[in-house]
Amino acid sequence: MVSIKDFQERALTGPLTDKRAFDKKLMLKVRELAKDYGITFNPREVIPDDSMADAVFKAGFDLLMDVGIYHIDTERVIMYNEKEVKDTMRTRPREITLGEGRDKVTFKSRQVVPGDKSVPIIAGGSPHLATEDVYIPLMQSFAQEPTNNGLCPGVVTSAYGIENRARTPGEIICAMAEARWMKEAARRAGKPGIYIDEPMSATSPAAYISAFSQPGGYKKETTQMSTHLYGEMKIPWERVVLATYALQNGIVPWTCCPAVIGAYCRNAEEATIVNVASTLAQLEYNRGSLVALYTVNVRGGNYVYPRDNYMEYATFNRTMRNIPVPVQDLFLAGAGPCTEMVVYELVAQTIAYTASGGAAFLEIHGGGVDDFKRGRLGVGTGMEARIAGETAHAVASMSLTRSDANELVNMVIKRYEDDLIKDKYPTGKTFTECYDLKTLTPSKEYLDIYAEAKRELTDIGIKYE
Amino acid sequence: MEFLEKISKAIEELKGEEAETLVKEAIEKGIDPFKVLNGVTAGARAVGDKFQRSEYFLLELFEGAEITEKCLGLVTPHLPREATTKRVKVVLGSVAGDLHDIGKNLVALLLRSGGFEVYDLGVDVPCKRFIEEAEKVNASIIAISALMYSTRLAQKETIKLLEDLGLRSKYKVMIGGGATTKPFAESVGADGWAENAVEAVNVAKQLVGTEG
Repeated sequence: MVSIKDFQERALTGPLTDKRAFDKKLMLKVRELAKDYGITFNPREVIPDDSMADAVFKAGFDLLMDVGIYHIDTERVIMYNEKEVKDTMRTRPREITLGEGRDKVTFKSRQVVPGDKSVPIIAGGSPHLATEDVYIPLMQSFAQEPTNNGLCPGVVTSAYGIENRARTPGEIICAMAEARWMKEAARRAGKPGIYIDEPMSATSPAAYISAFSQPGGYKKETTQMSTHLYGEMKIPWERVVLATYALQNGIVPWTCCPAVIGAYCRNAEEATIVNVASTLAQLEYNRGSLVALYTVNVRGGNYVYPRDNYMEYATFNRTMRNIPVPVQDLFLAGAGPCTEMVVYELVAQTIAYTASGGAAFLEIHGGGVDDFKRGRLGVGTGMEARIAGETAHAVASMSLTRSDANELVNMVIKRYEDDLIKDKYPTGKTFTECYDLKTLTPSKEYLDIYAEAKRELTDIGIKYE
Repeated sequence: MEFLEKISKAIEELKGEEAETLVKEAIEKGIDPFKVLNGVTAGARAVGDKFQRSEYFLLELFEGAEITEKCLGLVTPHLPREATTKRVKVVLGSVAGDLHDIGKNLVALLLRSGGFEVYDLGVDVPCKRFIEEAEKVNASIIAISALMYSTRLAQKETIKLLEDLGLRSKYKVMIGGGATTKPFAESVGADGWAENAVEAVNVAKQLVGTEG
């Protein structure tokens, strides 16, 4: 493991490198490793066999050893050696507890062995834009779901009349408001000590730290601090600063790998290799005990080629049997709430990630396309967390074999894949359109859609309680 | 195959040395430099087209851009001065506070393959810097990327600064990035918005009414 002192030294004295040269080396190496290790995913087997996952892990390890990570501010490459990385892998905890009181949850590395009926932690939330007027009820709609034992904030667009603008007082005000509003949503849902993943409204270190440093704000017991790399394999000082703050204050660091499919990485295979390398690189400087995975597909948002995204997640989950750090899978549906498709998208992913060993499912919500393409505010509702939560419980109780899980995933994907490939995402409804804001209950229409889909899913073999 | 087609093909196939040799030979043989230029730009466009068809990726765009720049360096001295200033210039970067650059890099490379002359200011670029560079190089387009909600307001502020400096009518401003949407672009007075890197090239062409 590398100390902060050593990391800083390497960032200041490592080989001076042109960013484009680093990028080219990274792209060439990842292609070479994918070829050398024979890494090819089979779209019909979203969850791969362990030999493929292990090959991906080895390729990711080799990639880090060969290229290191790039420091954006000093323009130098930070290299690690094999012993450091292997020591880190060996010493990472297999589980970690977050949350307070009766809301505590333990993230465990799930190995999905026969008979393992453990259920992933479910932390729904709508991480994109939410306005002040609906922020607390929207987040409460997630927190109140019985299967939801974690929560993910949304970006606060403005608070007390001040816009959230990076590096201004507005950013600080919004980041601090987010923390208080999230805590209030949790309190109203009767889960005051619930795990809340990371601040979402902050951009600068000052705002991240402000979200923690206030009465009623985020606490080290419940919330993680953003310390992750930028894509691909790059870090600025500000992330190292936050990692140092987290280490000094006992805050669990947020380790995250969003390798982009379709840019530096040509496909899901290459993106997964980069995600492994990125994980190992981050654990060196942040001493993380959780790793979050988030997929971005540059060729049309996040959802156009679902199998690419699903294979990346499921394979990454399997690769982590080599460390093993619990994995937080961040996933959502492209379709909007109150549609049939949102149910099936979430169910397919929940099956794949439960059966492949995901330890926690974060930021679950519908309306992903609205988030990114149409800019609608307040998309996503607590119902999506219910759908994923109930499905995760059902799938975990079934102790599926890998081939059974793959078959089920294929059956569910078949119900919406044609529409997805054609970019036909139903918009669905916003939170205020499909929830009664006085009682915070979903509309009959949404409940009926879910009930009907559940009947069909039961028919194909999912054993809901 | 025609000589100029060979140049285009060599660039399309990312054969850098071959492309440079062919350009040198063409100049030595007295072929009209404008025709040579057309061969080079056709090759660059073909690289961009292959990216759109998912036959090429970022690495190939990098290589294609490097080869194209080298070939242009060989042919440009043989063109009349006024011809060398004809390429549409774009100043581009990620806004202040935003260190994300994958999407911005893609846009830069695709614009280059589309025939634009791109001045990439990198990431974390202050509003004023976009304008200073545009003034310096006599750009036609300022392209501003933002991936985060809290940084996208810097796009609005850049447009406001252009207005306050009395320079708004001089430039077309296009915005993009994960935090932006068409309604947002319209609300801040941008001239164009692109949902992705491929679309950005089309928007840039529409804005200046040219093929780049």
